[in-house]
Amino acid sequence: MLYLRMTMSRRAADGEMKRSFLLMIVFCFLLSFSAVVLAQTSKGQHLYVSPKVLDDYKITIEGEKKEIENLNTLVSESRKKLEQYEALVAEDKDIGRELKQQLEQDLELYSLASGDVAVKGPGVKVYIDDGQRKLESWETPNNILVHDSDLLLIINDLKASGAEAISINGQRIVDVTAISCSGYTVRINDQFFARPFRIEAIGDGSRMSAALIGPGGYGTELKEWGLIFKVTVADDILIPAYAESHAYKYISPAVN
Amino acid sequence: MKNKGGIPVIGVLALLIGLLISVQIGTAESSDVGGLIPVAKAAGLEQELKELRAEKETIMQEYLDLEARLKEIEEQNSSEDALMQSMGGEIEKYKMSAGIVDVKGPGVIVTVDDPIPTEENPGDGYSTIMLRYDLLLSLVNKLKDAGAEAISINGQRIITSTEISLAGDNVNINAVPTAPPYTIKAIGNPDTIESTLTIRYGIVETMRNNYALRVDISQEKELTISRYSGVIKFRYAVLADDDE
Repeated sequence: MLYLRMTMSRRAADGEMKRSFLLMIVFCFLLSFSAVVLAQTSKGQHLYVSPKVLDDYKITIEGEKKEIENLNTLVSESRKKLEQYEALVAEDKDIGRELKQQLEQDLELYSLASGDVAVKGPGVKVYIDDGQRKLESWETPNNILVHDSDLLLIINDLKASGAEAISINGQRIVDVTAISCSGYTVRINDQFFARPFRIEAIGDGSRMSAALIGPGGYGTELKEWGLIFKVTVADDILIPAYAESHAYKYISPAVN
Repeated sequence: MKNKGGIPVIGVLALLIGLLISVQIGTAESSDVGGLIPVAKAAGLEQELKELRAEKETIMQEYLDLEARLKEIEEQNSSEDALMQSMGGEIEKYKMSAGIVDVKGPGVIVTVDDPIPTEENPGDGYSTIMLRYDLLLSLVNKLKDAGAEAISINGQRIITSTEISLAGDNVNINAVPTAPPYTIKAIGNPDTIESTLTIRYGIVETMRNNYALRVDISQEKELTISRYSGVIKFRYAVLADDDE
């Protein structure tokens, strides 16, 4: 378009030399201007980024916001406690009883969180076993066996739906619990177990069972493969304490 | 004569326009696959992220100060009470097992990032590692198997209740949304951990060969893993009395 207009301006120049010169100067000015603009914008290496980079940033930002929200809850709880103590000190009252109560509360909370004590409550019982159906000629037995990855995903789904304590065949699942296949057995907390697997979890029973056997749930998927998978909601589940000791060889508290 | 004066000028102009067009096309072609977003927008988000992280630091410091003052009061008033002192000691022990203490020690740092988009495999705009979050789950399980005593992913401490789940477009860890690149820290025997991960046909090889993920492992003499920063609350589980 621009070029066309310029050839036209050339024709016009036949008649009026002066006008065309003026026009050309304007064009030259515009051109050099746009060249400068272009040169400036293309200096940086990444002129554009893909939408994925932006999405990743947004998710991380969302995560940091959630973290801040969590921290604010912790801060307000601590502040409330501190104000309570300071009020007692100011009135010159005996703070001992209050402190003792607080310590007892803390002891209960953190012992529950550590997995070092037995707990009870409502929840779900999950029963998983290898499939009993006949294999088709093209299938491998792997299709109907329970694997460590199955257990791992079920445990993960239970946690995601709010399980507060979990055990597999009586072994308490704690932060360092690994679940690994070794031949015919599965090792959990350095002890060996074989099928069938009984998972018990304390928490919101209906929420947990819906997550497992609802549409798209992992239990539904296993059943479609032909494995045996049963979930029952129970009122009184007892989960034993972590049987091994939490003895640390490598970690030590970091003091700031 | 008059007519010929304009020709060189127009020639130069035409040359310039040609140059302009070619530069323009060149810029458009060299851009990333998918839609184009000016880098300025990403820089804005990066700035926001920085500010949020600074804010988080401040709040964390405030929390630590509060906790220190609380502890001071507790110690002042329980120094003569043996029972309270032993309770305090036990709480510290439980806190350590529960992952509510910053810890340090030797270990390994693993970073996992999505494949670089190439001509043949431009990707579909989705993150590979987020869709296959079970790889992260498996990686964490392998770390535990190798005896790791403390683990974190992108700053989220792995505790008893930690889930790694796909929620919408996010991968939530401890209910906190996370995105790649993933930095996984683990404290334990560095050699054992690295060998467990890099064994032939192991988790790292699977991630690299089957999913083209970029995985790096480095051993560290000392690294710090921060505490679980969420709120711990039990609504269903209570202590089983007969065990007490």
